[in-house]
Amino acid sequence: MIEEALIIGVVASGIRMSIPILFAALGECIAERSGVLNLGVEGMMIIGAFAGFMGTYLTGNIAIGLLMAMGGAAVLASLMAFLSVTIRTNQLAAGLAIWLLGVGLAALLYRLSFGVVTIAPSIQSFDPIEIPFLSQIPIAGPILFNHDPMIYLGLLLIPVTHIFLFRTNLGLKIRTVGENPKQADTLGVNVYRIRYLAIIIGGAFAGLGGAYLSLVITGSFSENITGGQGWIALAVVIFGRWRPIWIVIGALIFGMVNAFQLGLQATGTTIPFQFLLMLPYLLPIAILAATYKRSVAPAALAIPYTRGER
Amino acid sequence: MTSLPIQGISIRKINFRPMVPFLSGGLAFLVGGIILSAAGVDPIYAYQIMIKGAFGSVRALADTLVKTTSLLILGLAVSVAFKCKIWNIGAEGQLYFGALGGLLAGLSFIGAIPILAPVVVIIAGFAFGSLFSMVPAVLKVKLGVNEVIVTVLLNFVALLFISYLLHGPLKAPGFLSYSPDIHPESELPILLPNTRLSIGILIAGASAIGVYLLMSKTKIGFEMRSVGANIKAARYVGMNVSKSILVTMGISGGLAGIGGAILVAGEQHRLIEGISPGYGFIAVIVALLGKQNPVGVTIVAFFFSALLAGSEFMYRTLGVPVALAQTLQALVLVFVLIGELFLRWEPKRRKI
Repeated sequence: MIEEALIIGVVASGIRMSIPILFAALGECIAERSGVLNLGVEGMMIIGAFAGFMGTYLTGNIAIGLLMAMGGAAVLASLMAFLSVTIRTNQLAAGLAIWLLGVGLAALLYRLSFGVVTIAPSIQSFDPIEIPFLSQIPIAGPILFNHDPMIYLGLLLIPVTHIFLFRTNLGLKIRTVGENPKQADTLGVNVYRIRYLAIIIGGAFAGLGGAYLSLVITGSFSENITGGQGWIALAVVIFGRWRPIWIVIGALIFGMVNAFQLGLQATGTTIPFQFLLMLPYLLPIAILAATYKRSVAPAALAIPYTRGER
Repeated sequence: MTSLPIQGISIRKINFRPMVPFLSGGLAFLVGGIILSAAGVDPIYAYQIMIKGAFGSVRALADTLVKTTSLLILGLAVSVAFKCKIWNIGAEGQLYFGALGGLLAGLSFIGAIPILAPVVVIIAGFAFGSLFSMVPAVLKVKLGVNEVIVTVLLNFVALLFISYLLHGPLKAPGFLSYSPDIHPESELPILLPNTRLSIGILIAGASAIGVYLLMSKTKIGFEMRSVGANIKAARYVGMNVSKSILVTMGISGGLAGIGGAILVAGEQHRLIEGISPGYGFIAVIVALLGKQNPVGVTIVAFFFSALLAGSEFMYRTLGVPVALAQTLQALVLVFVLIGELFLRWEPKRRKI
């Protein structure tokens, strides 16, 4: 019975841990489908984590916090869009700039707001919503139907993103722009506008992912709260072959491994905790090594588009 | 090339290129100042304190130069890779491995041999950093895995590994998780008494010259640049692209490793967690701003070190967070990238 409770606990927390990656990777998937590689995910996530925390801390309203997280990350994303689409700068350089700017800015603003504190300020997080009846099902109930509302939002976004990309007119435009921007332009699609839109939606998603870290998982903000999860999300997009359904699997694998290593730490194993903490970073590398050759990126990924240029 | 005469002056005659970095720096400081005043800090006073902390005294200048040592060598490390279009964002991790190599050499019996010891320490730093950079290099060459994400994630792995060593096998007796001190014979000689400025800065300067000579005067350097400029053409003319990528990463990681070894042998005389305040990440901006050119990298490294030293002083006196330096550095890069738009901009030709 104790083992069962432990396994249920690990799986349930694995789902929770996969949510930030899921949000960020779905967002990045949309951006990359439009042909823009945004390496700044980590920076947008940490801005989301900070803005979400700040908004909730100041207003006491977690919904406002979430809006601020999406807004803050979207502002940073629009800077990325300006650099990569309008200025047509190298997307890798632009993404790295966005990453470092986000990390620096979040740390600076947090320190300016709270100073050096011994006890990190915290906020009241969501209460889990137990879905009636379903949460009573043995094993599956506590794993799937006893979570905070953002998890349900995350799960909802999987089919929504899929339908958006593959079943709507706008999704078709995004994909065409990412595969063959010249052709899209000939057909009357505004390549620049579509790319701006995709990058900014991607940013808002990343902001939500970051906010999940500060608002739900920890309830407070710290300068290394994202700890590379934005980069892991980028790996998950490649692993997921730019398809939302596969991205979920990637995010879940990451979440489960992370929950597993944390659970193992809690049991007081003799393995040094640093080696357990390495797992979430080594795993994406191993997955990339195993799947990289088979993945086919959008044809125009990371290539700036210039109208009228051959 | 046509030009529009405005009151007799042709705009094309004004060369904007050299002005961009200065304008970008100015704009970054302006944005930083707005953030500071919003937080209730007088920006003019804060920046005065910053300049004082960077150049105000011999100690301050020495502190700036100590940081220049690290940023220059790390900036060179990243530049070598970027020049060949290999996006090595893993310099921080390679630095820590180099620091480990330097430490192990400095603790061993060789580390007690005068004169020879510092040389061995630096070589060990190069070897360890280089070795660690082979992980992403081999993945790229053998499996085609893009190096960006791999190198970033390996930074975390390296830091955790060092943390393990400093809490376990390499922990010095006592409460804190430090390594033992290296043999005094392994320490880099100090250039300026009563400061931490060691001959590390000369090693960094020599590395800049070495990188210049390697890239522009040798066959392997030519091949590395060719692979960076056009990988298909390089392959077509029969260059060994895989070898070139491995060599590039090896040199890049090795230089980062020397940076780590200098931190151990020249500054701390032991290995501690957080021995680098993110030099490997700042180096990415240094390499991009310095256009991967040793002279450019040296200039940017110096100014960014002044910014860092000034910020630390500002933190001690005014309590303004050091993250200000990081933000300003990223802002300079953003503005320089935006500046490209204006450099490319040409007055439209009139239709005939």
